[in-house]
Amino acid sequence: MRERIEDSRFLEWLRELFTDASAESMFRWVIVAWAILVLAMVVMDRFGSGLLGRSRPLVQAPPERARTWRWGRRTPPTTYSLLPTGTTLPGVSSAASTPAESIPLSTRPLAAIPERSSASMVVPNLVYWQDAADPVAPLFGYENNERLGNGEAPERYNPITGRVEALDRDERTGRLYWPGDSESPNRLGVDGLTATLTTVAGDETEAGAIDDELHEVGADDALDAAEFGDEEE
Amino acid sequence: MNPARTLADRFRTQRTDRIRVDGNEVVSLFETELPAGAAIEIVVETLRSGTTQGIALRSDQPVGVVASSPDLPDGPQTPAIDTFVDTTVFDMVEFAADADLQDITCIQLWNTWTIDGDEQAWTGNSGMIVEELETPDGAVAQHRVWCSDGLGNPSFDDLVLVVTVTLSEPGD
Repeated sequence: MRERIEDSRFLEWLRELFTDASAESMFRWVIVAWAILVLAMVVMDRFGSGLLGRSRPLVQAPPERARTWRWGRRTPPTTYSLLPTGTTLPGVSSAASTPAESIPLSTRPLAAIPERSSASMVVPNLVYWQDAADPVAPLFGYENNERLGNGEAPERYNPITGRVEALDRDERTGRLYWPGDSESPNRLGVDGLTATLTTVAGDETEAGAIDDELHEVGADDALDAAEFGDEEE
Repeated sequence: MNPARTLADRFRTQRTDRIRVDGNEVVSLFETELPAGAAIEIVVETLRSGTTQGIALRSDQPVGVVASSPDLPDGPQTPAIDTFVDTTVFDMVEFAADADLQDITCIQLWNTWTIDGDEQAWTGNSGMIVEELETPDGAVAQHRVWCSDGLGNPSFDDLVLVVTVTLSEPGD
């Protein structure tokens, strides 16, 4: 019964507050309501930043350069520029551009930038894959065109390993290689097959071509060794 | 079959090395057995110019390569051989299993091609149709392998091989 009396008094107090429809009373309540709302927003923002891990709260001081520009109207607001730091537009005087102290690259002479070596001139993988996405004659099959367009390496199903593998490309040398190919032990390239070539027609032209290839890949060393051994005997 | 899908896409989706296309069985890997002392002979029958085609072989045991001439040394014992086909240089390759081997050697063969000088396989519309031929005298089996490289639409005459497994003559 005691609690009910207290509740009744509180409700009666609220009822009187709102039923007292004088202009002064309503004005006070609007002011109080706005103050409570702003206070609640600030508290929620601060506590929310802390709880949710947001790095910067919504209510924060503007950057120093933005403040200077806003009130001084002298230097352009580099903070809000869409151009990269240090970009100098042609036809724009240096006085109107960003001060030199805020452009690290402008203080560095261009000659100090190292020239790119010939090896680094190889097309980056992202660009290489995108260039290979030919809708008419795709290098790595139509099924890989979407991946190539996204700058991703093509994939294939290797029936020996039973796995889907992605093509690797060495950005330094530009060489392409499938990871599954290197899993085979004792893998030989064309060099390992130099002595296996057999001509069916057997004319001199083909024999000469074989000799040329043998010399190219160094298999003639074995022939020379055999001949040298015969001479010793 | 959805014609927009490539053969490699179907191989990959089904995680298999054989699919059926227009009533023909298309494989991504041709396998044959090589008994001890036998040899496998690969003859290039047709080669479409324009793209460098190649052959890749793998075996579960090292196989030797046979010298085409007494002046040439025998090749190395290797379980993996890759070569590029150029009919101006050669049009036949022969491999032989070691006569001392007791088990049957499994030979795996597939076609390759080059892009920017690097070997590629199993992409696009690559696949092989294996045609079983009448076994000639002195041979164990003979197949004609129709290979389609992965470039463009399926065309199984990009590279045509005749693969013959023969038993070596006594005394070889």
